[in-house]
Amino acid sequence: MRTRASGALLVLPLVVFLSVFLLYPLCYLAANSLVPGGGVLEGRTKQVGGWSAGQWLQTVTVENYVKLFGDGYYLSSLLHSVVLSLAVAVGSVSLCIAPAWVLVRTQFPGKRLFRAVLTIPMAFSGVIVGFMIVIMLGRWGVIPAVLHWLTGEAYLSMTAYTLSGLVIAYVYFEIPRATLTLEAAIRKFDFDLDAAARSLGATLWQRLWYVLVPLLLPAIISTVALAFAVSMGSFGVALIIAKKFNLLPVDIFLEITGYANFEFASALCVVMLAVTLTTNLYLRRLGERHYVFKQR
Amino acid sequence: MAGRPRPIALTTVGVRLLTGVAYAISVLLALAILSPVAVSVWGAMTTSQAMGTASEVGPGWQATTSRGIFAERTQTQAGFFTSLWYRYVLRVYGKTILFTLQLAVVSVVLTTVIGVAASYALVRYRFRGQALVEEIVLLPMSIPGIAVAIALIQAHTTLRPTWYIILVGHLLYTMPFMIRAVTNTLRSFDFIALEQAAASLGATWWQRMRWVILPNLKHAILVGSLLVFAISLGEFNASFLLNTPINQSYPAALYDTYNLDSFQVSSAATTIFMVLLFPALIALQYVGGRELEEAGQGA
Repeated sequence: MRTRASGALLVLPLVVFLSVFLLYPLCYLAANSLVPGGGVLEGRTKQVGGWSAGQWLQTVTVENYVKLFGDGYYLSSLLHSVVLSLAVAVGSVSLCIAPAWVLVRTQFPGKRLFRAVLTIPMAFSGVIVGFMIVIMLGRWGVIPAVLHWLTGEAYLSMTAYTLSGLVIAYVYFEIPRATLTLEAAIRKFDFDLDAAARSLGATLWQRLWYVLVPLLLPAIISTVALAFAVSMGSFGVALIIAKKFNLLPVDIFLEITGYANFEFASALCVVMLAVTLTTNLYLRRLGERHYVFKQR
Repeated sequence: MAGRPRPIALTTVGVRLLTGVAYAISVLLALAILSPVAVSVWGAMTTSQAMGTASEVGPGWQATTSRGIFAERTQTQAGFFTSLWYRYVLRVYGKTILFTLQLAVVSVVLTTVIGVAASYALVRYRFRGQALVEEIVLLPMSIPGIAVAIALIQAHTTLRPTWYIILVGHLLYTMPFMIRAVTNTLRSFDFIALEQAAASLGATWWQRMRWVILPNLKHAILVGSLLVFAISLGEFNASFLLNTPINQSYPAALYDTYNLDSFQVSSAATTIFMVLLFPALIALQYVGGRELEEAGQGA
């Protein structure tokens, strides 16, 4: 058969699409974050995105970043977002290992249905999850209402609007992704290794800690990385329920809708991208280092 | 005792205990997922209307017992099985629902055309920058949607008033699923040998594509399309800022109902969303299999 190198041209539409609509906009974003901030507060006169290369060179400045890092408000938003994302990442892994295990290692009727239920939140937008946590744990939510009926006191009312409410909502959102990733990893795990460890007299905890955990570590790390990235950027949930404290994506949203300050919003986006991508890259390296041996 | 022999390691008390705990957590998670869904289906049927917006008050039963002035009004109206709220949502947001379906269908078509061609080239040929292309396709999965939206708005101001910019956002976030589903299948069997066999029998390039490659990819394309449809339907992070007053996707309309309307109207809107979404999710479970497991990872 003649191999035609020209067949590789089939990839061209994708490459064009990605360069025009992903790489170019991201570069533009980075460049625009170095332009003096406008916004309605300072009387925006120029059109959004209205500068040529020459104009850009003349006006380039780091004032947006100075404002960002000099202001405690934005630093606290960043801190909140990072802490929230870490809590969600750890929480979703430790919870979802259970259904992943059950799906691989046990047989029961209705397993397919159970799996379908677990994947429901995958295509929910953040706003829906926000609404759901409000109806379950909000001011007059279902759980406080039931507790009120049982005990006469509406415990857990307003939990939705606190940090723990946000963590619960984001974990809800992560269940399908985390379960699917961990399920695939457990499925690849060679249980003969476990049997071998047991025949050598290893206790249950030794088998878990020295056999299972090291081999699942790459999958665990990649789940953590994914949950972290998703929680950093997902602002649908936060728009509905983060009324008590500030988060980075919500700040960016308000900067655009409230002040039309695209330049400063771009700087915030660049910082958010930097944090997300470095964390992801670091965790991926860590995951690769922990491959004890390639599993088939 | 028929059936598969049990692995030896699964018989100790400790393991059974752990399995029990795992079962308990799984059941709790399933309940946690299903109960708010059930509450919103139920909420859309009640005839009383909560005082205040959904995002602040939520269901509002307590208002009927503890707040005197609301009690009378809500109790006199109490009843079940009304279609009032559904009719309201369909009247106000009907166009939005159609627009979202249009976005999802166009996304499926375009990701299939662009994604299948690109996946074939990525697996079949070796060329410079190949690894880079694969990295960049998956990039949107790990970068926040709001950043991509702001970048798109600023870089393509001419597209801003049109619906194409929303479509672009949806394509960026759904393309990885299609590419993963198709490349995983292509890597799982020796399609080059099949192609060579067909070529040795005199099949042209087009014939090999039409009769050898595409039939083998049918399942992967189906799974990829269902994933793309489902993700596109619920996409909010990137499309919220890309929406215009005329072209609005349904999740943004949901955001409006949560902030402007009562719990009952919001529940009806949410239930309609789930009615659109669930057929795709159920179909995924039935045709799913390996492709779903691999493509759904890192979803």
